[in-house]
Amino acid sequence: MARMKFLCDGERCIHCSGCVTACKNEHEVPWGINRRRVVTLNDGKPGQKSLSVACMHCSDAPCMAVCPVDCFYQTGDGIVLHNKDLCIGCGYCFYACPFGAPQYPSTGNFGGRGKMDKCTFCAGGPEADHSKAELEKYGRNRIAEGKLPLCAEMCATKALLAGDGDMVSTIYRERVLARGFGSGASGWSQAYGEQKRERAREGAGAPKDK
Amino acid sequence: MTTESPESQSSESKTILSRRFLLKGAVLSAGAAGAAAAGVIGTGQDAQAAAETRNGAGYRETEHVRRAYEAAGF
Repeated sequence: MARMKFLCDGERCIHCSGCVTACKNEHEVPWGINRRRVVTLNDGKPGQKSLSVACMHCSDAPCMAVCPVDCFYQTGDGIVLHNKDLCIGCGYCFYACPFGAPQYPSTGNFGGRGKMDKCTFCAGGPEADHSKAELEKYGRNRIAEGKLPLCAEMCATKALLAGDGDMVSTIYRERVLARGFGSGASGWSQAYGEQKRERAREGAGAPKDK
Repeated sequence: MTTESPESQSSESKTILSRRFLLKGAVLSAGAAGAAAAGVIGTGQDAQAAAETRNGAGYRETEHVRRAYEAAGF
């Protein structure tokens, strides 16, 4: 079965924020929430590059591990989704996520944050596909329509890739070979490097990377 | 005019305080147990309902997706 992954090619991203706008418009994301955002590394210095960042749908998702009400689940395609009916807005997932993906609609008195919102890989939520409830809570379900996330499809320079992990890595590898250099797949080892994390959990007796 | 000795006053206040703590403890523990039970039942029902509706079509490599991969590969 295909494993869905995101990859942002730092050599191609021009920080146009087209992905951010496409996501907000497609899903009618509430004011104050950005499911996707573009960050600039080494701003104004040699080696400056921009990256489009959102939920990476990690293999061993830390948000799933820390959620006290177990509102996260992973689909067969590896997409990490959550149930807004179960979410209590505690914010644990926000602190656990290495990509800062979970967002909250409000900062009220007594720590009230509202229901967490994050990238769904355009795959909706636990409600029935294309239902009104799914559209209102999670946005459009493009995956069920046989499409890919709009942020990637809309990307003008095709810096942002989304879809089957094997296909995405093949496309990126071909690019690196063609241009003769590549800065690496940002976030991939953290999001999809499950073997390393399993070894780390096993402890000191486990073989170490050289 | 009657005056109570400080010792008798302190022993009486101790009794009242301990009774208060006992009652407060009983009320809190009963409430917590009820809330926990309701939470467990509620969460179980919600999770079951959510699991029943997780019937998404999932990823399919359609013509649209193939064209998107081709466009990304340029």
